[in-house]
Amino acid sequence: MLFLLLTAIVGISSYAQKYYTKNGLVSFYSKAPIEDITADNNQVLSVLMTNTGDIQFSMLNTGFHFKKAMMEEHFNEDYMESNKYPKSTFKGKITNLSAINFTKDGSYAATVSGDLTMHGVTNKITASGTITVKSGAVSASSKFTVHLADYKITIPSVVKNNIAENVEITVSCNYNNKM
Amino acid sequence: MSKTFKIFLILVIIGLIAGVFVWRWVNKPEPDVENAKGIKVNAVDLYNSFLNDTAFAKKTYIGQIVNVTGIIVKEDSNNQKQQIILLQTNTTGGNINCTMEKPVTDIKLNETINIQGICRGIIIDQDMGIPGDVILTRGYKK
Repeated sequence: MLFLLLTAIVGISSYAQKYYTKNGLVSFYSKAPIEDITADNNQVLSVLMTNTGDIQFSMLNTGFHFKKAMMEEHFNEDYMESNKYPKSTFKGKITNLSAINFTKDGSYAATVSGDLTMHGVTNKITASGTITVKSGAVSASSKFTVHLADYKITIPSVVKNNIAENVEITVSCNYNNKM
Repeated sequence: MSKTFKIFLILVIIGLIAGVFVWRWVNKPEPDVENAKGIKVNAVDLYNSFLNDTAFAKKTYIGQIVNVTGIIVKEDSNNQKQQIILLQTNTTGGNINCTMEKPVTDIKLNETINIQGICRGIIIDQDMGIPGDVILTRGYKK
């Protein structure tokens, strides 16, 4: 009886895993008539609960690195107001968890729904992506579009040709830590 | 020289000067992190200051070039193949997370290293139940 109980506990704990990374990647891409702007943040904290489908991301806005120092300055001071709103977060769930087998190697289409908070504004979003399982390692990727006005990020008319109203967000995380 | 030509010449000169200023502003160089004189601090103190005196830490370190001394607990790489060096603190699971601009080839775990980079702050989220890291980017071994 005790053996069966221990086996069950070990079985459950090996499946109910909390995967996390502190060095996930979130990039954004703005395509505008005058210039295209890209920036990367490689210090994204993300947690994925494989048993519940809970998935969360948290990043410092000051962690985005631009090609030009001036762009970084404007991003933090004028648009994101990083002193006032230092972090952007996403808290949500994989809505098609039953379609993903975290114990079997493969590439699985995933849909994630939840709350995206940027610039002090929270909106519900849904994004599609891919979860890859390979030799026990889990990674996730997604691409979606954010409308800046939805987050009260206003682009002054003088630079409206430099920055797009909709920016493309790309997420890529290798969950190489387990708890 | 006619008066109109003089005005034209002055306007051209003003335009040129303004153009130079705008060009320099748009193409402002990034700070020379490697050769700057960074704020000296050890990894444990840097981490603790973000935990215990957030206001002081934000004012003193965020956006500044810091020169951190600490023990290497892990070496890793990110999605863009940049080297990550984690420095030990006295919080289990909490580190100084350094993304290196110039990779260090002779990494030895448990050895002390001195890294200079830009401090971005601490990334911590109570809901996630994971100790946060203090983030350093554009790191160089000193």
